[in-house]
Amino acid sequence: MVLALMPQFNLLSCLLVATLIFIIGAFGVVCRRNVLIMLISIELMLNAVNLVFASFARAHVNLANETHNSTAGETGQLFALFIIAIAAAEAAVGLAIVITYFRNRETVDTRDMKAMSQ
Amino acid sequence: MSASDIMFAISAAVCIVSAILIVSQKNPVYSVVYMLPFFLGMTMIFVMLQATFLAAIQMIVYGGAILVVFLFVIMLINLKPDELRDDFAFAPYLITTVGILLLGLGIGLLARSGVTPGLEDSFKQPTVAEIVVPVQPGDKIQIDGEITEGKTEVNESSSTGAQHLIPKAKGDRVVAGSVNGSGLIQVRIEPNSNLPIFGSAESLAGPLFKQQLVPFELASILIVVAMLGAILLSKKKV
Repeated sequence: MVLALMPQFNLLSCLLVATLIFIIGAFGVVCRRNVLIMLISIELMLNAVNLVFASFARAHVNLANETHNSTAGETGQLFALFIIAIAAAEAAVGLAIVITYFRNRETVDTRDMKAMSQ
Repeated sequence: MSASDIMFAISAAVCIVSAILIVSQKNPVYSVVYMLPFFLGMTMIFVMLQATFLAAIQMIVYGGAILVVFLFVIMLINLKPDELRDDFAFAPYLITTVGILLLGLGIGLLARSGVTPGLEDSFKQPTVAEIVVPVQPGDKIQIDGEITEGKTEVNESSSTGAQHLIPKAKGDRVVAGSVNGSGLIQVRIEPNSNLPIFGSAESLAGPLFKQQLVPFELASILIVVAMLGAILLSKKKV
């Protein structure tokens, strides 16, 4: 019974792990009220997308002849590289906003961030 | 149950457990600490998917840079323990549950239909294809390789000049141009060493600097803009 629950290393289980991590990240963004943990959860979601790209890249290597695209596998990994670059930029700007907000208002709780709704 | 299955199970379990711990911590410092095992497990899965360059970049950028920046910011803003109130909002649970069901439905449909035929089989094949060719008695061996089956003796006079027959068995190397003796052998041709290994920096460099050159330059502009924006935002007003 326990052995049947053990995941096989195949495309579907990679996608399932990525889905689970994405759901956990989405849960963190939606349900937490701490801006820092929300930013970390966005990083989790971006990582899950990277995992999907890497899994499909691995699956498309041997299909290069069928799809007439000799770099089908490499392109998927390059997309993941671009996502890493953009995640770094996003973290830098997001944390700068958090620092500025905390300096002015002394809070990182989104329940206190209602200046625009009043 | 192969070794790769067990490795995948361990790294996937590490990833999911530490992701749950990241999201459920009250103090963000502990969240950042749990990011490290998460990125380590992720790097492990990337290595198993033969995305070796991606794994290295993942560890350097996420584990080395983003993690430390998060930690610095948390230390910098110096949260008092009493400011960390219980901050789980239970109203969005419904939205999240609906989202989970939709994502599960999507995954199920994907698994049923299969976007490209043969994708799952292709995932299991090795990235370097093995080519084995039979060589009949008396034939010339065309390409360098290794004998995987059969026993024979070969005349290597074309490469070494030795006139006598050299006995060869399973596991021995044969060179191109030698003539097979009396036995039928199966020769495994070595993969073309000029082709870069899949997932290495060498194999990614070609597509990155040729087909994807414009996105690459745009990404560098974006990083410069983000850096300037971060500096301007967090600068103290003078």
